[in-house]
Amino acid sequence: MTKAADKVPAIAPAYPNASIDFNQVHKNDKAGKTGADIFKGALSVEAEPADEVDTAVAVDTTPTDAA
Amino acid sequence: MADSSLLSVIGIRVETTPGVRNAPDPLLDLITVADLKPTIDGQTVDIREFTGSIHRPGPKVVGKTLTITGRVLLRGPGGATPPAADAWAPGRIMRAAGMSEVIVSTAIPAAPEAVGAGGTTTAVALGSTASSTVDLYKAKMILLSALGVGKAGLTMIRSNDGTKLAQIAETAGTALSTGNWQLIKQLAYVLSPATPPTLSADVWIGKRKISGVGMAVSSFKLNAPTSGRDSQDVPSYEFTITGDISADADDSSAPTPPAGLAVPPFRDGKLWIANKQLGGSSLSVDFGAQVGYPPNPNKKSGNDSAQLTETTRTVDLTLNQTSLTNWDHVAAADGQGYYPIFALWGLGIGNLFSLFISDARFNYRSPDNSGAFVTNTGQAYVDGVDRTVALVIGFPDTF
Repeated sequence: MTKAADKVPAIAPAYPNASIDFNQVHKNDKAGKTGADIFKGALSVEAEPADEVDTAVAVDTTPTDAA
Repeated sequence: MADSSLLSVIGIRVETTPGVRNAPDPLLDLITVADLKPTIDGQTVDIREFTGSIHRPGPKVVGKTLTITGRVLLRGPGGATPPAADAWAPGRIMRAAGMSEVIVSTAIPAAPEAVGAGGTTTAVALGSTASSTVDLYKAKMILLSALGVGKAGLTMIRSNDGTKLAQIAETAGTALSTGNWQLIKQLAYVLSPATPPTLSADVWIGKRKISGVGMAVSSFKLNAPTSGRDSQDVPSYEFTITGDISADADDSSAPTPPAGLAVPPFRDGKLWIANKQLGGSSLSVDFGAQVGYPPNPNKKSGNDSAQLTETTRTVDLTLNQTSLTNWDHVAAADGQGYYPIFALWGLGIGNLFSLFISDARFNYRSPDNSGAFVTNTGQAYVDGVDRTVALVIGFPDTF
C-alpha cells in the first residue's frame, strides 16, 4: 500500500510560447491533469513551426519491392 | 514641407504562420516607442569581374532587409484586470524574444487564504487550496500579507515543491507562518523553451510607411535603472527586430500611438539579490539573441523568414559595495550555485512591474571606485530556460 507521503508529486511541464490562461491551467491541475494536458483549453496565439512545408518536394513512398 | 522625424510610429502583430504577413491595425496594434529607427540594408555581393582596366565595378545589389530598433518604456496597460490574450501590444515583441504571455485574470484563490505551517523567512507554505504540482507557481507574483501592505506585500515565487512549500525571492523579517497568501491578477512574460513567433511590422517615418514580414528579434534587453537624485532614467526594454520588406510606400497619414500611463520609475520598490536587499544603480537582462535566415531559392528574398536561433541570457548588476558578511558574492561565484534576483516598482494597479530571475549564477564581481561611491559590477548568467526570466505586471486589489 502506498502512503500519501510516498507519492511522487507531478511536475509542471515547460511553458509553450503562447498566451496562457493560467486560471485554466490551475483548473486543469486541480482536475488531476498532468503533463501537457495541464494546458488544455488554456492556450491561444501559439506559434506554428517555421515554414518549410510549402517548399517540400513530394516523395513517393510506394514500396518498390512489393511481391 | 520636409517630413518631421517625430512622425515615427510602429505597429506590431504576431504572425500565426512565420513569414505570412499579419498586417498590424493602425489603431489597435501601435506601440509607443522611443529611439525608433528603421534601417533598410541592401544586400550586396562583390562579383570581382575584370573590366580590362584598373577600375573594378561596384558590388551587385541582390536584395534588401529591414531592421527596426527601438526602446519601449515600461508602462503597464492599467485597469483593474489584465488585458485579454495578445492584447497588450508591447508584449508581442517579448513573445518574439522567446517569452510566453501568462495571464492570471482572477486571483488564486479568489480570496486571500491563510498560509500553512512550516514557513521560513524565505519560504511560505501555501494554504490548503494550493496545488502540490512542483513548480506550478514558479515565476508568479504572490501577495503575502505578512510582508506588508500594498506593494510591500508582493514578492515572486522562485519554486514550489510537492508539499506546497514555495521559495520566495526575498527574506522576511520573521518566519512566514502567519497571514494570508494569494496569487494576484497579473500579466506576465516568462522565458519559454519553445520556438518563438515572428512578427509583422509597419513603421511610419514621416510620410513613408515601410512594412516588414517574418521579423525575428535579433537583440533584446530589459533595463531597470534606479531613478534617484543622480540618475534619471526609467525602466525599458530595448529591441531590434529584423526581417524582410513586404511593402514600401508613401503614406501621409501616420497614426498616433496611445499616450498611455505614466512610466513608473524604479524607486520606492524592492531590489533583492540572492535574498539580500541591496542598493544599486542598475539591473539589466540581455538576451544575447542571434538570428538566422534559412536559405530558400523558392522565396522572393532567397530565404525563409528570420528565425531566432539562439539566446544567452546575461544579467548585469551595478550594486553599492556591501560587506561580505551581508552578501558574500565571492562565495556565490566560487560555489557557482543559483540565486534569485528580484526587482519591483510601480505607480499603481496595472502599472506595477517586477523583473525577476529565478536562478542566476554569478561571475566574480569587481569593485569600482571611479565614482563618488564604491560599487561592484559584474554579471550573472541564466542557464535554465523555463520561466527563469520574467517581467510581471501586477493588478493587486489595493496598491
